[in-house]
Amino acid sequence: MIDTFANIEGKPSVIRVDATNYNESIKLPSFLKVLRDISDDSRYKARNMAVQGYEMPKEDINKINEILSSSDES
Amino acid sequence: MARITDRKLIGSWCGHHNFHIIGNNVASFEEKINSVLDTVLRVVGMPVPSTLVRKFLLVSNENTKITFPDSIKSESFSEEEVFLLTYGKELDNRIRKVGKNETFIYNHGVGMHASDNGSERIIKRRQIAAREFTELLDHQDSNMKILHKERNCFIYEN
Repeated sequence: MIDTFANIEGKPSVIRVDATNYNESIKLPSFLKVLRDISDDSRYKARNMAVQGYEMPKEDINKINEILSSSDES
Repeated sequence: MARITDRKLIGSWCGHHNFHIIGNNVASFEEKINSVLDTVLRVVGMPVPSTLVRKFLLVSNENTKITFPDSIKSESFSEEEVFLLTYGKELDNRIRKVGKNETFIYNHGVGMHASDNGSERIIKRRQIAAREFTELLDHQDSNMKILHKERNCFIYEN
């Protein structure tokens, strides 16, 4: 499933996949562009994202904007 | 024939809050049986070990929309997730309102350590009525905001 956080600046979208173990290879849909694995990144845990004043990591916002603007140009 | 029936069943249930697929990517039949048992226990609200979820950040922002190819059946929902104050041994206490077209279901989840050394975590989740959801809102943690999510469920190469 894909969750898009509507009331967080940057409106991050996260695909969540149930896994049986950490070593399991995950095949993600080819129609989605994935920036990175955030499974162990506490900044993307819902509990932390709900804290008042939370901001999506700037480096991710910048990378996403970079990729989107370069795909717009091509 | 069985595959076609499987596909139709999956298409019909896609997006239901209690829809689970017990996959075949397990080491043994025993593991598959345990997976069925865990899933059933979770659905009936018994405490079970939290599941392993892998998460990936997608390349998208306010100006983009997630689109699915015609061959992929998807269902979209809105979700509100509210974090409540925790009491005693609780690590996590939250309620959710999920639905679409003005029809919602509500659930309440409490996470806690299963053992004294804290190595294992369990979650007890149960469906609640709209009225209980409203009552529990009084216990909202004021340091947390309500998360508003747009949720898209789909089945891919299962």
